[in-house]
Amino acid sequence: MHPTPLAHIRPWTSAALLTGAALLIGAAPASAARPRYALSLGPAGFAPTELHVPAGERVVLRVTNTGPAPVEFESSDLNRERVIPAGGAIAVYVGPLHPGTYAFFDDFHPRLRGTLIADRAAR
Amino acid sequence: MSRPILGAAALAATLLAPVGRARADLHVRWPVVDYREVEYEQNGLISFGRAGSGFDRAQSYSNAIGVGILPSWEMELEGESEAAPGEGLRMDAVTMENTFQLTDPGEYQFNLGFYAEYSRSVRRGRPGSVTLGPIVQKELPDFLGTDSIHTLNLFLTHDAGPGGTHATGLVYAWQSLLYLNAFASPAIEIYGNIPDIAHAGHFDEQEALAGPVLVGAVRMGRWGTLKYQAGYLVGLTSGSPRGAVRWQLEYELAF
Repeated sequence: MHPTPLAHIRPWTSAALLTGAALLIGAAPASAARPRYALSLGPAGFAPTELHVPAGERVVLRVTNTGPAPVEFESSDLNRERVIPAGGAIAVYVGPLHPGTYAFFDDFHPRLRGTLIADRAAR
Repeated sequence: MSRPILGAAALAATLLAPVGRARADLHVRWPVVDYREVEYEQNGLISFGRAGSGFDRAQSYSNAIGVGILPSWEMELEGESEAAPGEGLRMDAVTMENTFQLTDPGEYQFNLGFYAEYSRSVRRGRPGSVTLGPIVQKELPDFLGTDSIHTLNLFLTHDAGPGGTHATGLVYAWQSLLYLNAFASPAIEIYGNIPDIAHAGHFDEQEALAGPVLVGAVRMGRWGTLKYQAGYLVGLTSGSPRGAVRWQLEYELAF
């Protein structure tokens, strides 16, 4: 049985090549310029509690934690969860979304909830 | 070398697992770190095959404690145990697993991560192993009428420590998940193991399994999240078990 061509490459070089290839393929931006929407989360909850975004487009939610403790932006509907340190901000990349409503909440304080509404006329 | 001898050698190589991955590790890793969460995870696998094949009712389990230390780094410490057919369960290895999140989900065309583990055998005379490689994930929002998530693990493995071989193995895993709801979503998974990529042999001599899996989670607010996966995988080659039941239970708690 003859060795495969990969046999002549050191294993960790192979791993580096595999990862490099994945980075090259994967790091292409999903969209050049995406609409951005601001959302804040503090002890009183999300503001706004209803956020309208365009359906069928990739959008960025900039979520700012205005409170004194860490929070976690989470949405089962959007398949996203991110911890935000006190005073910090994160970008949450979502979409393109079907028209409809998508619930989100603070996983550290689940009573703090909001809704993302994807509609055709949001822009 | 004749085909039967070659097949037997490939089967023996798979069973002896010279590059040392626990079979309970048959689960697809995602390129996402649960920062500031501590988790307990159990994986189980029971395989079935012909009597005397080494696969019939073989069991393997892993139990792990993990912590999302940084937004881009999660570490797990795992104990692995196995039971060969007709034998009792015994501890096999202790493994440190690291998942690195390289991109935010949805930021680029693909979600990317990197996985690296060091496994140390607790059995006398058996080498440890190092496993590492990329995790690539694609979210397709309108696939078969629903959102879907497709994830590929492509890991290289190599023995580490005395008694090891010079073989480099390739472990691959694929999951295509159709997101129906948080509680239960169907997925198809494919797993393969080439113990020595320099002498990969024919596909039929390698270990390869595929089958349906159900994936879900129950969120309990400040009491954490229970995640679960269960499925039945079918052996695709003569170097694989005839079938295998696999499951994963995971409890996550934010801190």
